[in-house]
Amino acid sequence: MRKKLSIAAIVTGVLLLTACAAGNGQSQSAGNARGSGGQEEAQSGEQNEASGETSKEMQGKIPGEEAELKGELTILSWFPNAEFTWEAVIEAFTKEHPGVTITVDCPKEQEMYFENYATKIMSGEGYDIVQEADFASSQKGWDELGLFADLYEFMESDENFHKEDYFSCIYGPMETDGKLYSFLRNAAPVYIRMNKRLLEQAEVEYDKETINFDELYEIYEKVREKCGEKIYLTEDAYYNPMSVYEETYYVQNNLLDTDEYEEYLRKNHAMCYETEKRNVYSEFGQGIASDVLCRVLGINLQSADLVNDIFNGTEDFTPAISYVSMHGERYLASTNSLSISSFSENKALAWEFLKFVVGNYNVDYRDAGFLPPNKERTTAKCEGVEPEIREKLFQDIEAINAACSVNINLSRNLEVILEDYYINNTLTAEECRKQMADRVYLYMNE
Amino acid sequence: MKQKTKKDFLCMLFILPSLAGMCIFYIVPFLSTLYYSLINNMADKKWAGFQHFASLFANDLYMQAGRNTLLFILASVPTGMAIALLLVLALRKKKWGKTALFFLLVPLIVPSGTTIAFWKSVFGKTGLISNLWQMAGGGPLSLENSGWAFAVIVIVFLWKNISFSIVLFWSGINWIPKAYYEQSQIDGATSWEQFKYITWIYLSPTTFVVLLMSIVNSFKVFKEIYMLYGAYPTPSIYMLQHYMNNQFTAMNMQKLSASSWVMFVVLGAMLWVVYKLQCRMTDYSRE
Repeated sequence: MRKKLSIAAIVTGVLLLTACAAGNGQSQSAGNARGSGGQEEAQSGEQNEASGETSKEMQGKIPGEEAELKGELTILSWFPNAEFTWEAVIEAFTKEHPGVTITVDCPKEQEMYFENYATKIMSGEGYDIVQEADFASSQKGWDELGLFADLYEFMESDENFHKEDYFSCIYGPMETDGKLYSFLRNAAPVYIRMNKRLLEQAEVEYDKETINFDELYEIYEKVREKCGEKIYLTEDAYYNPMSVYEETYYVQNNLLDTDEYEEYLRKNHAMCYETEKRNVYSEFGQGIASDVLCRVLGINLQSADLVNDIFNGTEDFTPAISYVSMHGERYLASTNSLSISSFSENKALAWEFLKFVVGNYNVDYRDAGFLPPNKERTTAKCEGVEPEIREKLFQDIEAINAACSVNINLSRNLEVILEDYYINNTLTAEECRKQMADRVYLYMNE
Repeated sequence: MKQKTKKDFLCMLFILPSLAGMCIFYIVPFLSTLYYSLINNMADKKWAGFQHFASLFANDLYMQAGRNTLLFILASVPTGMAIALLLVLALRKKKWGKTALFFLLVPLIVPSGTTIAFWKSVFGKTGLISNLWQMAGGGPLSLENSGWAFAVIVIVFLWKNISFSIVLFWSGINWIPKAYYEQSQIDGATSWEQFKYITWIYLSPTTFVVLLMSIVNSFKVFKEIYMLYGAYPTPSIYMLQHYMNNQFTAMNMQKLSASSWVMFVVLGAMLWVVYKLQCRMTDYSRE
């Protein structure tokens, strides 16, 4: 009896497994055929349109005149409970393409992002578009796993896409081995605004257009020497926000267990006077507290007057200075990006939607807080911004050469160590460096 | 014969729903992971053979994780069993033994989140141990980044899982006829002799069950370790489960599946050895 049961269980399992594998193979090959066929359809549809049309002429066209797209798209959102951020762009896209249905999967909690994604992958489906927020380039091996499609292939085969319409920072810094797996949505550089009154009080002048960590450290020391010990570097972090940009270099290159990094830790610690998180935005609004040296920010274009103030300077702030890391990197302020999944059966449609999201389409909501990667869109948003400032901003965007992001799980562990060092003072710089290196060793060698 | 076949058929029919559920939700996914471990990635699904298995054994970190896991089992399982048995032996003769047993079972029903919150308040940077240490003149204590991290997880495991062993031992001991103890007492046996010749012998089937369950439970402690120390803890407590969990978030289903199968084979071999030992040592007909 026992033997019969065992045989029955094994046979059932093998049969079901065979059926599943066969079903997966068929749907995968059919999906690929549909995907490539869809791409060909989109391309031929575009070719069949009135000749002489450029991408610029197509953009902003009234609904109904563009090639009709049909199909279903699914999007995995990185941010929990963020359905509302997609509503306007989906509405705008589906208004132009009524045959398209788009659904967004916003996990209830961040952890569920990985669960939802893994479940879909294991089922052989995947999402059509995946949003990766600030960890795209740090998810080592996702590109090797073939999870995402190479966007360069879409760009090169799409006559209506022109690379020069977009800032160069969406290409180089986001590439992996010559391929582009995610399309950046926010091309904001990193700036620092210094406390003008504090600098005047300390008789410190700084009129360069860029600043790096060592220069910032020198200024901080001079200010503290003249104005007293209790000077906060910034107002809203346990340790200065530039850490994320500096430490990315050490983490990505596995250089944490070096004297250079230890020296950086010591300098950074010297600037992290405050042991409690201090947020004074509500108290000072656009101003700055008298004992805070600087504010770090990524530019957004919600208000032209604000942008002009940022770059011209105000009573409280010096003109914005572009931050360059110790090793010469000029980072993106965030790496919120979109990718097209390899599993997608509607890659051509996904590409059209992705272009719509990042391109020159007037859907106001979605640019809130973002600096769009599309030059024309950014130019339009810069209405009211002084021409010299707009030129400087564009130069700074084009100068971006690095994407900053660290694996989210690794960064949680590293933050615990950094808090022990900077805040709790339970570690020396040497111990901190060693423990950081140990964690990154695990991450790099898994 | 015909009646036997009919009876077998009816038995199969009754268990078919459970068997189907077991196949669909356990066996098929389990066998699917073998398939995933033999392909290159989830997108291409090209045959890769045992490449992923080979890369596991060539990975020093994976081997280190394996050693840490084995060390954890060797440290925590025998200790847990010994403590559980001692508690049962001590409490069963006391009038308030059953009341004490009730309180000892509390860790079994406390949710993991609560367990971790409690242990953080004891072992955390600002916890009880650290505060006591500072009161004694020492500096702030961060156990998670020290050599004591391993001891902490052993303690957490023992606290959480001893209850289960106690339950099994308690019922096992109560099964032993009291007449044996009475007879041995009349014959002048000491407590130690009673334990050695009666309790230990007749408790051996239960002991093996406790051993099996403890080994299995030792792999489940990852939940608490993860909540205490995160995905990348200090290397001395980096376990196989950390490796697999991180492969999951890295969406590397191939490495995850391969390491799962390696763990299945190793764990299965361990449990098979224990089972065979049990059969041999508790085969009373041989004596």
